[in-house]
Amino acid sequence: MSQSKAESGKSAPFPGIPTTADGSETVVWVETKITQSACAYPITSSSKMGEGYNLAVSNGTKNLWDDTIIFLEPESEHSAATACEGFALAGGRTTTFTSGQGLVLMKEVLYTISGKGLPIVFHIGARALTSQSLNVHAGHDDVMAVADCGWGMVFGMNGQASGDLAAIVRRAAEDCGRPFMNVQDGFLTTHTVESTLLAEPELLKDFVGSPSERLTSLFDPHNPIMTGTVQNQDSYMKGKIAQRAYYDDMMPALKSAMEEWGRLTGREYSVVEPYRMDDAEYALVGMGSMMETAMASADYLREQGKKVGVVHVSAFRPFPGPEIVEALKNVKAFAVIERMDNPIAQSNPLTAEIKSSFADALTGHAGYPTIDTIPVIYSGSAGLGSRDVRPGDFVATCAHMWNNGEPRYFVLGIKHDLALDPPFDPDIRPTGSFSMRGHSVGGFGSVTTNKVIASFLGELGWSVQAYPKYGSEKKGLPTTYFLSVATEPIRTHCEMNHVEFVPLNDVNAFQYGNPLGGLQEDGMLFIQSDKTDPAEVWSAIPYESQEIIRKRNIRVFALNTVKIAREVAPTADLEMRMQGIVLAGIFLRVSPIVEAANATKEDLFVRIEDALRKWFGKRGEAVVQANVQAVSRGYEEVFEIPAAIITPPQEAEVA
Amino acid sequence: MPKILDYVEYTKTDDGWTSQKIHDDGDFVMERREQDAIDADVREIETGARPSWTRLGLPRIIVNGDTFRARDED
Amino acid sequence: MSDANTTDAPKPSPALLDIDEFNRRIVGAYNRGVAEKELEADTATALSVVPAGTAVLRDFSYIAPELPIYDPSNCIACMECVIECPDTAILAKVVHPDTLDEETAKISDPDVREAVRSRFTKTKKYWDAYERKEEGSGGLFGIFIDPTKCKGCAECVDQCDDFALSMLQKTDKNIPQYRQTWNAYENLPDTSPDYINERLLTDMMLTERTLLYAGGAGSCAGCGEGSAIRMMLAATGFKHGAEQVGIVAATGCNTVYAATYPYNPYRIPWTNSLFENAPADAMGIRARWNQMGWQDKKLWVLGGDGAMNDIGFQSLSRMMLSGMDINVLVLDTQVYSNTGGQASTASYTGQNTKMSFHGTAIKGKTEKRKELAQICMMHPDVYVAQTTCADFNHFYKAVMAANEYPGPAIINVYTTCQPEHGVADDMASAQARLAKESRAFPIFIHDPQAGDLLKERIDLRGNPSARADWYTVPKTGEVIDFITFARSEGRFAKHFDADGNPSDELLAAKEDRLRNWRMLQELAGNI
Repeated sequence: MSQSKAESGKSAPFPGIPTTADGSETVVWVETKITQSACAYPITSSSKMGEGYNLAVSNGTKNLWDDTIIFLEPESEHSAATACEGFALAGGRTTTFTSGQGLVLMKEVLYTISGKGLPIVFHIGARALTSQSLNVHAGHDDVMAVADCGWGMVFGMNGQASGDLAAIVRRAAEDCGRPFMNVQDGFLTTHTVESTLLAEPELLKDFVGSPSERLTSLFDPHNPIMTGTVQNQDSYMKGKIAQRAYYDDMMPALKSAMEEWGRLTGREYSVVEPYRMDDAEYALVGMGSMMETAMASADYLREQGKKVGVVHVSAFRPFPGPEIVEALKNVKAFAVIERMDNPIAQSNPLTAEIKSSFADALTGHAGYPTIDTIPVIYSGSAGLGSRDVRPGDFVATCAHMWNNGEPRYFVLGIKHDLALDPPFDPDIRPTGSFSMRGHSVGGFGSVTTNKVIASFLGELGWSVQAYPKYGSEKKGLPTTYFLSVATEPIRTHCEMNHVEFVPLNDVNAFQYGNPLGGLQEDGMLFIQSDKTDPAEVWSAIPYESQEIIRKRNIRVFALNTVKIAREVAPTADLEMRMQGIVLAGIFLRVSPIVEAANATKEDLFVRIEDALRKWFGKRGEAVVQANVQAVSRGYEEVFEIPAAIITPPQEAEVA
Repeated sequence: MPKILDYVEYTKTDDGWTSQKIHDDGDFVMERREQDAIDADVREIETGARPSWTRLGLPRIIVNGDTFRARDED
Repeated sequence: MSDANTTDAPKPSPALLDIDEFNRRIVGAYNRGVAEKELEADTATALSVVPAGTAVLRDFSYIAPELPIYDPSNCIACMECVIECPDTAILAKVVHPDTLDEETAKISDPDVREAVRSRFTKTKKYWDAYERKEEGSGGLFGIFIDPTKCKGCAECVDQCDDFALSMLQKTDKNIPQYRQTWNAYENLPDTSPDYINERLLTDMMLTERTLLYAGGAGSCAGCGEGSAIRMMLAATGFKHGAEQVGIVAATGCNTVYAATYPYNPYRIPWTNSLFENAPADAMGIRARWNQMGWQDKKLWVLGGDGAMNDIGFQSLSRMMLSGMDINVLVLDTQVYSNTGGQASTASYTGQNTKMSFHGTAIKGKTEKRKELAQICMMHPDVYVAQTTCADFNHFYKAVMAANEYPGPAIINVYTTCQPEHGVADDMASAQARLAKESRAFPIFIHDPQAGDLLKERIDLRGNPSARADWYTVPKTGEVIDFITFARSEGRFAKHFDADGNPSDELLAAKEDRLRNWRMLQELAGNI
């Protein structure tokens, strides 16, 4: 989808500003331009959005209508939502950013905001709720817990969509006088850096319109009125039912905003997004980032001759029942995959609403397509708390459907009686992709490095995707981070099990797990080492790993990044982080990217410096230059373990 | 509820007219202080009219022990 | 898509809310008692937006059997009845005799004309004093009662030390008289500024711009909260004008009696979100107002002790650290009045409340009272006042200072809750005064601008015998302590035996009050 968006956008009036950004940044880009304030309380994974907005406020940013934007950080999400209510009541345009527990703590206020008809937009990094344990990662039980508070609710599959939807739902909200939530998956979208097109400010200005012309103050001493009254048996139900008149406008407002956005930018959105559904016999249905992985998986299955399609439900509220029936009515079976589990409901929420829609369609409810049979409906749970959802899981799901499998409810990605076992896990990355999986330790700066590399490659015109596998722990524990580069958009939002390059910042990585897992034939391994003799570096690798390296013909590189970091870091506290920056230089050296870009080294480093300035510019020129030096030395000084050491001649002969 | 006015009393004494407001079945008495006002009230009573301040509310009036009825009251 | 049967009802823009239409169609239907059945489920109910002052159309004349009767000859124009009335049912004007002649000449009904004229009297304050200065400048002072707003609590009668007010049985004859007289009164011109002494705070309510809380709220008869709200708005409106103030109310009695659809007693913007979030709501509004350049407008938060001490405490605390110019009026009834009288952290030790019942094993509330005002003044740069409506000068000064103070200001006001305290309807002021005198509820001001030291910032003036433990009434020698106060209220009745001896628990409550008072004395440097 993002591919077609980017390409069709080229001929549109506002094709977008190419960059690399994560879902948090695409939202902040829009909101700091169109709102007058944000009132937010920190909660992982949404904090990055609040921090981004706050930084803009600290820098004195003005919105597109010259209002100096305001940031409030109250003492809870309940108060953050309330401050939004107050700001909007007084006629202002505002937003908040929240996740998980924060969102359910806001729930009480969500009703008063919608009840008062305040067209606010909230941005949600969807997150699993604390139940048997805390989890800071992606889940949809938080958003489903607030799905009936009178708010519109849209889901983006990637950061591009989340940024675009920020503008779309703002427009829709103010057109129909009702609030919207713009939902993206926590970390998986909020923190995944991808090649992205940002909306042009002039587009946002016209598309969303001036707050003073679009909004009314309900708290104006010059026009005093009372809001938030008490209604009893005489009036409460009347008021509640009469609100239907407003909600009837919600779907047309959303559709119209999406259509206009598509016309202006070439980036098309619709309340239901069918993918390869025209002749599909089986379909995968769901919301959020995993559905883009499902689309790439469907492409793979199509290549295998299976007629599989995907339906991304981008609007959960207002619920597009007729559109979903229209998209799915001709398949033999479909599986609704949800990022939550409610075992005592009739079904999980999206499944239940789709079943209801089909029941209405079958029984001739006005407005629904006429059908005489209902496809077999499967329902699955996957990705709870960011449990990895892999292409193999979708293959397993489709196989379950075409085998008329039982049970109808299943789970993916874990070992359990209800789980489907993936028969295999295909590599569904675009052809020619180059992926890196780094093994590091929290605090080493690798996460930042990963983004710097992504930003830089994005500047060179490649499609990139970079994200770390976050834990909830703080510093000093093993972390893994991923980076992929390709000529086409990367649609897989799962851990990279097929990688070409594995850097080990952490010398202990061989001791826990298998850092060579998924490293492809002819791939490359980098080892942080204080040894300068290639033979010594090699001999430090455990024998089992040496065997794998030989078998897969893996090239091995090494360098003492710790020493370089110490030498170039302007202050001691940056040493750890600088090790990661040195790795950027190593990546550029070993990857085929530079070669393919036909760039000279000099040209390359000019661009590197620009990218580094984007990241570190606010910390001063000394820091920028230290980083440039770190990259440069990594590029120049990294050395390869000669093949003769890896495979000694006598062994080669024997082999 | 205390302080409910039973009647307004006007009494002629050797020192002139006095007036009191009798409340709560006689449990609570309010003295009226302004002699000019009391005398003006009495002049109105003598013409057969209610004292003007009592024409709003129409409290019971007792003059020298007798219930007073204005000309236009039945 | 939902199962909507699409209605084509137009959406009224609240800015264009047609007040006349609202009053005629909606308030009219409610007043006729046909709203429940006849009014449609239209977008007016969906928005539940109510224009200002609709409650003035409400008629409470059926509620109470009595209403006040005014005896002008005893009146000295002290204004206390007007100030303390919780329902804006008794008002006063000062009018020049020529103006009065001119205006009453317009009244066609001679009885009404005479009724209006006869309300006005020559007082020392507005007649003698003015005439002494300049002959012909004196004004006539008159008190008028709105029978449609009066709930018969008799608080005004209790306030009047001059025997100018009594309660009078309502009759078929006098109710129409009162109505006609009131209507005629409303047509009289507003009190001329010549008769309003800017420094005399008691005069404020002579002018209409202070009457931002009109009558018609559904509060209990004699409710102490109503008086506090009226007085706060009077002081604010007097100084800053109606177009300079708005209210964010925390759910509680105050939102129920003052915002039940479609009756709105406020003439200023008012909103309620929820129980625990009014300070946060105000932060959002303040931020937007400031962004618009409305720094001068006054924003008040209203809430009870439940909303501010308990469920909304963290929101309040956060707001106080924002430094924002937001004022909070805490209506401290020491109980969850709205939900029917459950213990709050502001309830007194020993108090017999729901959820802290006085039973055979546990004798009422066992915990101590949380002192919100003290906690507030430990937040940096917050103006704090603790006061009562009975001390109206203290109260008014606190409100005016709060309005002038450029940051957060908190006013914790003792408000009598007749049903939950177990006191009579006319006792709001009397009990508030006794609460102060007995150290149950000391009054004080904490002004951050008054000095560097706490003792410079805290002012205990207004408490009788502020350097003593307890107040001794000079004339009688009676010592007023917490037991004296407890004896006067039903909520402590079970702590007294047949001979009137207090229980151990109540003596412990007395000790708690003394410790609290001594702490205040220490902070204020009075020890």
